Amino acid sequence: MDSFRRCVRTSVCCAAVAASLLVGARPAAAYDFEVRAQTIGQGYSLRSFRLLSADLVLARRRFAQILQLNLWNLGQPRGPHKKYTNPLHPGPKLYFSSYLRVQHDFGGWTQGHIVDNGKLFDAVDLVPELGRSNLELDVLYGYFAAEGLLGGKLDLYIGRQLSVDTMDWFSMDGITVRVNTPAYVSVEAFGGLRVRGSSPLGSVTNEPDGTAGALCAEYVEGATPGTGSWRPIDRDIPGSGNPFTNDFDFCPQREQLMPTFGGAVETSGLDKVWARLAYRRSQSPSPGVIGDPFRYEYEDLGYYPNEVGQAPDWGVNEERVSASVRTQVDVAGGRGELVPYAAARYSLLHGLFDQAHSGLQARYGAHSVEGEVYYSFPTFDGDSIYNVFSSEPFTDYRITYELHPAGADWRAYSRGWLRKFRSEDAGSDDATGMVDTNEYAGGLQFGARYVARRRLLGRLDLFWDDGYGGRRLGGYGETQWNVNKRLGVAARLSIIKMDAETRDLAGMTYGVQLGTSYQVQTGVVLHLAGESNLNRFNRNDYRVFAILDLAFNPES
Amino acid sequence: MSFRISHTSLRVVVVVACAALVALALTSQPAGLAAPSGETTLHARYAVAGPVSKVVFGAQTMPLKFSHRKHLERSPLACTYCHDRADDSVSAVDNLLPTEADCATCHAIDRSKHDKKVAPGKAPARCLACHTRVDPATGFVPRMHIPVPNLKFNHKAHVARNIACTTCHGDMRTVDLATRKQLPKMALCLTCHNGRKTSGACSTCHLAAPGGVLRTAFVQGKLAPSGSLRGSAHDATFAVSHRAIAQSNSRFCANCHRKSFCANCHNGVRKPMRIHANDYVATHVIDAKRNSPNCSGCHRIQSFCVGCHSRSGVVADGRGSEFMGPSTGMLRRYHPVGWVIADENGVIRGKRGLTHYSWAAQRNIRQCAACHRDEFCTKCHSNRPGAFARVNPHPRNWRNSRRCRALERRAGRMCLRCHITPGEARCNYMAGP
Repeated sequence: MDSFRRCVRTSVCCAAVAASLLVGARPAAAYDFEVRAQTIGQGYSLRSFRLLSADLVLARRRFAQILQLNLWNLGQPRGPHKKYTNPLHPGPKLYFSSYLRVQHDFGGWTQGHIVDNGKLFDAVDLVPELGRSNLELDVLYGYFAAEGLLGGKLDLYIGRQLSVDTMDWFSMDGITVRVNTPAYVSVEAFGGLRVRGSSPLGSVTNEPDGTAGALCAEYVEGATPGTGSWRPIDRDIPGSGNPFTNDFDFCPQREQLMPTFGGAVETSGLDKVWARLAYRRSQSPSPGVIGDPFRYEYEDLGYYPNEVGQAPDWGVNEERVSASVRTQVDVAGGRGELVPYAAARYSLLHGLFDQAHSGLQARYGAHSVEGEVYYSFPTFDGDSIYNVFSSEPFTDYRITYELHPAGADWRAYSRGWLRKFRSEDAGSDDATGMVDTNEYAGGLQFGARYVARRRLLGRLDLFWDDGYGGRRLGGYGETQWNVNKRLGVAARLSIIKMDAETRDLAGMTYGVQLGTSYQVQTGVVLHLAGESNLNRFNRNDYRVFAILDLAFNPES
Repeated sequence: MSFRISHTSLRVVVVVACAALVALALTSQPAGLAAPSGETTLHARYAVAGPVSKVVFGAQTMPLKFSHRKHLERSPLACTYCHDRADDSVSAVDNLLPTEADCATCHAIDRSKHDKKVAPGKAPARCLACHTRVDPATGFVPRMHIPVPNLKFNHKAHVARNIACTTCHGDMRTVDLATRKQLPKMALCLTCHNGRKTSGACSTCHLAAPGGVLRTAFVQGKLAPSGSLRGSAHDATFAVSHRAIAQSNSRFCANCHRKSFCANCHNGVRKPMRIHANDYVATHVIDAKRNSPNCSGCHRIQSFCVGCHSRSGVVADGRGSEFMGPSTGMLRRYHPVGWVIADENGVIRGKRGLTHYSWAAQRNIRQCAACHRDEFCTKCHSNRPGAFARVNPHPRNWRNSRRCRALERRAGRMCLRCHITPGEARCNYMAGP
């Protein structure tokens, strides 16, 4: 599978380069385009805790290259867009948008070794999740869009899409069709393959959570047949000497394709009312026969025990219905607004409401108050065993006050929150003091921001929180100064007192960040930042960040 | 019972949802039908909410003593009498202010005589009648500075639709010097620009890049919603509270933000400094235990968190970690005594105490998932042969519950990870005789 993925990566890279050359060779007037390239370098260290000797300090030397390409006005159905101050032409809007990213960690964190039971392993073999920092090439999205077809009635999207749905978001390789009806609603339908870690050029971040891949193992045959043993996979040896076709054969569930489909109905064109009702289902086939080892005392022919046909052919990974409504009411003769909103999500897979969120925002002149209630019941991918361990929800109560006088250069806020965890032992005390038995957590935050003549910004955030998880008291101070049109500098200072259940972490932590941004020329900006932290564990924790940001946004 | 909607907090959700629907019923009407009671009151109605945006209409310098009120009291002049280019203007960059020549039709201006006297009853001609200062030696007066608005606007198109000047600029009979207060607010524009009556696209009026995404960075500052639109004010806490507005309709956000803007944080390769400020590696433990803010918004826990924790050696999963769990009695450990009550042979010793891990799992099982791969749990909580302790992990009243049946129906193969015979993988399974 690794060689396949490498092959796919190489092919796509070549295709991307070829496409870029083709695009570059076309006359500029044919369309509008934007290219943005960000080169990001980060260097810092992380600790690997040791019990019997000094902790290891492992280096992370991360490099990432991001390329965003947008091609607008394809085919010019609206005619050339002469100048951004002109109105956009009516008519269909055709465009292509993509986001490609390469990342690699040159440091020992990913490239190093781990000694386990006296044997030396590549770190990435024992901790396969590190593979995400090992020459990883992702396409976060890359889709063609045709909006406003049939006189504005039809929108069409094809390719890898990153979609924000009610209460979450997901990524899919497929097609989305939206019909804008004259009856104040839009109807949306989509279908395709859900993007997961094993998808070609897929990022794992948007895959349903709750399943791991670390117990992927390979069978290494011994001197005589049947005397071998299972061991962590070695990604440098593609399956030789084991009875399977490749290294991933024993963790195949997360390699399966995940067909996804759904739809939504959304209000469109109603004054001050926005509502959405959505449905989405993702499912995957059960892995088939993988060989003939005996995992248990049963003869095992597949990933799941299936001696008498008990393993279903398919399983649902996610199935949700969600709804949200938001409206706005002008009050006090237009001097203020009330914005009530509510959203809820029902998981058909779990047979329960797993999220709900509602609130009311009241704004009058310079003042804004928002109260919220948020409810969450932890749910996971249908293949995750955590679904049966998850037993209790939590509820958040939040209130936020914002002050932003009209025309003033400053604004301020205060925020309070209280989280109630439901559990069977509500209200118990732990005599040992070793465990946190709080059923509540809460906190307060205060902050203010001041901008002087758009050149000097100062911000101060103070916070205190306590309850389940630990106590924290501290603040951040931040300042930015635009020295001139090209040069800006910034600094951030933090002082936090922590009292966490993990005693080793209790104490003070101090941090300082210094950064600068310099515009070399139009569209070329260099950012540099350094961070130094001092806490109980790390007396000298340094981090450096550098970003070269190239943006080309020519106007045809 | 796994169906938790009866919880008190959810009642609040339902009440607010009902309130929203009532408000919807009371306030909603198809776009384009919202007619103002009078044209001049439309400007007044929206003007009370505060000044116009400093970014769209930059700060002005107008060293004048001009009074619209006095001029209109004297004779009911049409606006175009002085603003004669307004009717034909197709761009917001056009200068529509009257020139000296326009004024000179009534005021006998003579630049060489800055203190020129005129006959009683005639329009004054001295410079200081309109200007605040004049240099007696040179005759120079302070210049006006009215920045070009960061907008697209076509007066001609609006005039052609018989939209009176007063609809957008208000009743000038009560105004002396016209300032930014006489410019329209966006809420006023939206009474017509609502997607039905006429285009509701933001880029109809706002400056946009070729793809239609609005330009938000200007010399005057950064353009951001003030809150009059869907309550979407980008206030000081918006970075941590934008979920509610984004979930109602992400296309609204897309007017100003490309998808890359979201992806750079929610699936990024560098930490957003204001969310994960200094020393977050050391301080994140408290957030993670509470799952506040929601880690899953940006990180896949079973990939990102588990990988990092495994490499840093804090997970007792036999991958080079020297922390072999709570029973080792070592000085450094992450869980207290009593966290697990099974002994090395899988035999349950004693009762579950307050330090037992199940309490933590009930509060936030995601904190468990941040270190332990899902396979780890089934080492003990499994009914398969060879499992460590065979402890039932299911919540109370699991058997035949709605939740069990939903999972069995849709994800029955997950049950097979612990229950390997067909019978025990059913919700109606009952162990023992």
